[in-house]
Amino acid sequence: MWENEQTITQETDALRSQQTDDGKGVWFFAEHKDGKVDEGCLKLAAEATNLADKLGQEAFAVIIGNQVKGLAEYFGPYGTDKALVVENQHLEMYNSEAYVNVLAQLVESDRPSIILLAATTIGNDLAPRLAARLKAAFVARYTEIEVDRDGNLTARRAIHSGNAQATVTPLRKPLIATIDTQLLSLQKAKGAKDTRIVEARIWIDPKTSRTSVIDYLKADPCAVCVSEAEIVIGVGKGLRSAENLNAVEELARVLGASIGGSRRATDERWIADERRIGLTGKTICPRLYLICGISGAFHHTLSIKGSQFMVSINIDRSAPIAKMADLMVVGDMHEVIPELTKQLREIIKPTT
Amino acid sequence: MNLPQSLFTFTKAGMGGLGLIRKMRTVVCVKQVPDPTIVRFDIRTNSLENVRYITDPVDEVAISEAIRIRERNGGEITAITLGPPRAEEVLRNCLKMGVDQAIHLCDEAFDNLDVYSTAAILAKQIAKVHYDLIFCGNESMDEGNGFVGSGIAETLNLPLVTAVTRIDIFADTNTVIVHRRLKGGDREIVESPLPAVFTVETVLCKPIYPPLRTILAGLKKNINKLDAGAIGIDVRDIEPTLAPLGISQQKPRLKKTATIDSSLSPAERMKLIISGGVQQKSSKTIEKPPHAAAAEIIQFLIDNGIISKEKESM
Repeated sequence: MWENEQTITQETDALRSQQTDDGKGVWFFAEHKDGKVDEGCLKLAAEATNLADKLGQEAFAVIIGNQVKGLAEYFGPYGTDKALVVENQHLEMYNSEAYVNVLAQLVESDRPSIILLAATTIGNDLAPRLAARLKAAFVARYTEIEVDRDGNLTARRAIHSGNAQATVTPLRKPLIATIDTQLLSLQKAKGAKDTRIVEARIWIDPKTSRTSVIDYLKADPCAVCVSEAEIVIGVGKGLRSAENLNAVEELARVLGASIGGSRRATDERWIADERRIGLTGKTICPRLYLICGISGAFHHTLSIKGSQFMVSINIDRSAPIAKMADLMVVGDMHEVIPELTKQLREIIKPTT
Repeated sequence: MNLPQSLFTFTKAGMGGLGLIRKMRTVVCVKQVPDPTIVRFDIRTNSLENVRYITDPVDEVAISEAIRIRERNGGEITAITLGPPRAEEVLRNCLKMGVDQAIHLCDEAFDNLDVYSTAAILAKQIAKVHYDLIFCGNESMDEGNGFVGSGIAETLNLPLVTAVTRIDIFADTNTVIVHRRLKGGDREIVESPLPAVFTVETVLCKPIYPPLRTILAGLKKNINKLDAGAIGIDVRDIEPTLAPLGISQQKPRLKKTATIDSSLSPAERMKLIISGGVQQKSSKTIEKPPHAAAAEIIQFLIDNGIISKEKESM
């Protein structure tokens, strides 16, 4: 066993020394929608700058699309040195195969050392495929990338549903890694930079993609499965009876939320079984989880850890949920919810 | 919604009768994983404890979908796995579900492979099998790299659609229309020619419960065990892309360097070191009449960008 481990380290060292240090720059893939970039993308820019500084290299934004040059100015405050821009009318919408073809061509000519992508539906699709195409090292959802004095990289990531952590080192370049941008903080660089636009000339055949997107289905946020919803309202014992659900449903319509609940709520038949959140039900990771009348037993809280923000309305000040919630409202949900619906209606239109 | 073109050709071809429908040969890549709900990392022994191996639930979904496709279109299903001798259990489970044949890639040289090598070896064997569809789980329960599907598609130069939640096969035109999962429950509808690779999501379908007859038949079937020589691959020829350095206890990401303040009590200093200097979430408790409480909640939602005042809700 020990011998085996030693040979692995020796081989690793040998492979590492074989690499010619031709890495130039830390790239990040800039996702954009309707001519804008979101906060996650800016956080990614900051992370790329951070790693580039540690490696003594430059940070690059890679922007692919149609008429996207203007997006480069967003990244200046986050320390991005250059923006590699590929503009083509056939690249207006994301298409996995076409984008991989473009990126692979860019990487082969410019040889970056690291490429970062956000772990979104696009990043999770693009990153492994690009890595497979380039025979590059791939780390999904890293939590940390460390750079040692010789510029060697090690990456950490959670495995076994977060019960353990794996540490890996890339043996080939570039390192393609995705990260959940919720883990990152939005910090501006010490000195804002004038991001220089570099137009990459690439010959693209729009027919290179064998798959084609033929349509798009928009989900009804109230009907969608709790595990996929952006906003979830959870109901529990505090609901008391099925009739009281009407007020919650009204709030859900205004907020565009999906209703879930604790085991108690499904056992009492207040809500459908497939809407149960917890150890015996679904795991959720919404942007907002509004917790109404759930005390927060661990069977339930185990499955809600992925929520970005939690607001709890509970009559019991000492309920365990108070420790987890970002905002704990001590009060009766049957009084607070109608009031909340009323006030929300005044500022936002109901989603149709 | 625009009807996909192949739907029309399907109705036309439908006049030829069901006899024209081409049989679908499906290859499903399966994986044995430690049950993630009970496995724990033990800092005393520096290894995983409480390891009970199961078939990856998402792979059971892939097998179930393959069986449904076989019921409709005919054809056959091959389950394939790469793993140590104990991984045979997973293939037996697949055979009991009704899979036609099972291939077990098992060799001492396959221990501690990185994802790229795993995908390359699987692709090498799949290339020898006849296939129209290749299914993989979108992400495994244990490591969750989400790489193998992409790796196989790129190695075999096949079309690929990831995160698939629904599959409709148009056998006459040899195309597939699938739904791909996007954020917030939205779906993208993608058309792809066959053969192709699809990585599936657990919401694709409910795992089937096979009848007793199928289970008993599955117990008798043979598992085709192949080592590196039989696959025709030398692991040393595949250059790994990653080297594992070990596993440890999960630590949160460092938000700032933990500067140890000597004025703190030893207990507090220990706490700071263990937490990695992560700032605690700012939790706020309010107790106000309903009207004021609701206003406070709305302010919280606006401050955190969940709703905005001017525009419609997101």
